Amino acid sequence: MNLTLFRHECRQLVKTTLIWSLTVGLLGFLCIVVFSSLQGDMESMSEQFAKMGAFADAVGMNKLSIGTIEGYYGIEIGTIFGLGGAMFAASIGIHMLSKEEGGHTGEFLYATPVSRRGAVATKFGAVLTALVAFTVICVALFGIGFLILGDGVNAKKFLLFHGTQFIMDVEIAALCFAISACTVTNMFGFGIGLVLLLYFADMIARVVPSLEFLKTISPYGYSNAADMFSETEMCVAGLVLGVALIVAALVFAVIRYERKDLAS
Amino acid sequence: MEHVIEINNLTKSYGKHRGVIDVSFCVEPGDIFGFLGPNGAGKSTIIRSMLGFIHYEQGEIFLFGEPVKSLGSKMFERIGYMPSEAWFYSGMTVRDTLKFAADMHKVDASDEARMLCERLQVDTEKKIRELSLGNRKKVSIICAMQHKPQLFVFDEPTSGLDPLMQAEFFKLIDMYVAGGATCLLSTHVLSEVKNHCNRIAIMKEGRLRKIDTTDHLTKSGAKHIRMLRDGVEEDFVYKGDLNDLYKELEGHDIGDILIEDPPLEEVFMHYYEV
Repeated sequence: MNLTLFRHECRQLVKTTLIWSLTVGLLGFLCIVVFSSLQGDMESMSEQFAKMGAFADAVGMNKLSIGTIEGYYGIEIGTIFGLGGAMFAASIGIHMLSKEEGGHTGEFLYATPVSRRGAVATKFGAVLTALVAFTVICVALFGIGFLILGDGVNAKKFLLFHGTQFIMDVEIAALCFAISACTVTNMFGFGIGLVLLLYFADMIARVVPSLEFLKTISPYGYSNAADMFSETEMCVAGLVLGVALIVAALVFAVIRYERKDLAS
Repeated sequence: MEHVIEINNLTKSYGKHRGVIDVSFCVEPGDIFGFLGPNGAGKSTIIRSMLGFIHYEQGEIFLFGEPVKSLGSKMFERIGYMPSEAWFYSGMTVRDTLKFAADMHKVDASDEARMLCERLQVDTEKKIRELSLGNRKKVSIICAMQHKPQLFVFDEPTSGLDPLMQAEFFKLIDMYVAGGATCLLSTHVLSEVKNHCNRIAIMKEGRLRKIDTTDHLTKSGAKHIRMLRDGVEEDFVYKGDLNDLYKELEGHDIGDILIEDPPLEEVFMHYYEV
């Protein structure tokens, strides 16, 4: 880990991290504080959604009631945070390594005594730091929202949800980081596409029984808010696969980046 | 004495495209070594292979007597490299950029950076994105020099610099080389190598065509011939034995003839056209 490079990368990520975490955090915060005024409507909506069959299954409304704060948090804020956090993770991971070549700064950076392996470790360290900051800011804003609302969700379920969401964000960041080791251009669109693909894979797995295995592949399978707040058994196989993919993606990134001919 | 740079039989290709083929040469301590060749000759490929930016298929490269593959990124503690394109993080100021480069080398180079900024007239408060190409080049020169390396590697360093700054740049090189450093200068500006380099390597189409001292190259036996033969003016560089030329001229009407040492430009063109 190179501290100079780490500080530099963190500084470069400050603005993006603040924009994403304040956007997602404030959106969730506003949803929480307006819950009491929407509660009546939510209860009637919940009854209508429950009749929607597959759609209700896909978004977890078969397990939670949107008319309760826990159900509302799991369905509304869970979706906002799950998609927002994963998109943020993908957006910072996908060009963390490739930006040096894309911005023609590779020769400037690697003409210093930092090894490529050291740079990979340092840059992923900066990504992890940004994800921690994102999670802390969002969770803090949601917490303030609950204080203002005067109501809340079960703390254990809340922490479990955000803990698994953090692992999911790390997994998506690591996968995008590995892709970044192979490319020269910013593949932002690809990163966002990957997030949406994994999100819809989880939704399909919840609707089509023959495709339930997708729940193991998609990180949304083990970090699903509806599962956490309804105390449905967590997809442990998916979590184990997720952690294994993080390790594999980082090992791949190191090997690929060390063997790569740097574009000038 | 240990070579500062030793390259043996270096071959690097880019898929089906030629890179460099079987290149070998050495750079000695205290050399200002000119690396000449047209665009695409393979100069940058050799430099980038030497510095570990790209991987090569065959050959060996030694820096300071050690294989570059075992030196790894540590080599940059002793090397100052200026790439042909001066790019930095655009949102940073010049001051932050120089500090970042020095911190990456784990040295306090503030005094040296200040001296270099004064001599090259660089405004350290400006953002990188506000700088012209010439000013970015100056920042790149300072980044390469401020940690006082033992080996300088410059790839097309003077393009974009005004003549006064070019002169200042070479004064700085002379100063560091006088202090014990060595310099590899890749360029296609002939006057630069003629005026500042003691040894020259000429590259063409991925191969090393010639390596010699500047003095030898300009007095290499090649002659610049200008003559009026059978009423026709001729102007060429002759590399062979002059006696053969005299024999060839027998029987011709020679109106005028001038035989002189060719300028480096013609030597250079001679190797390019071979």
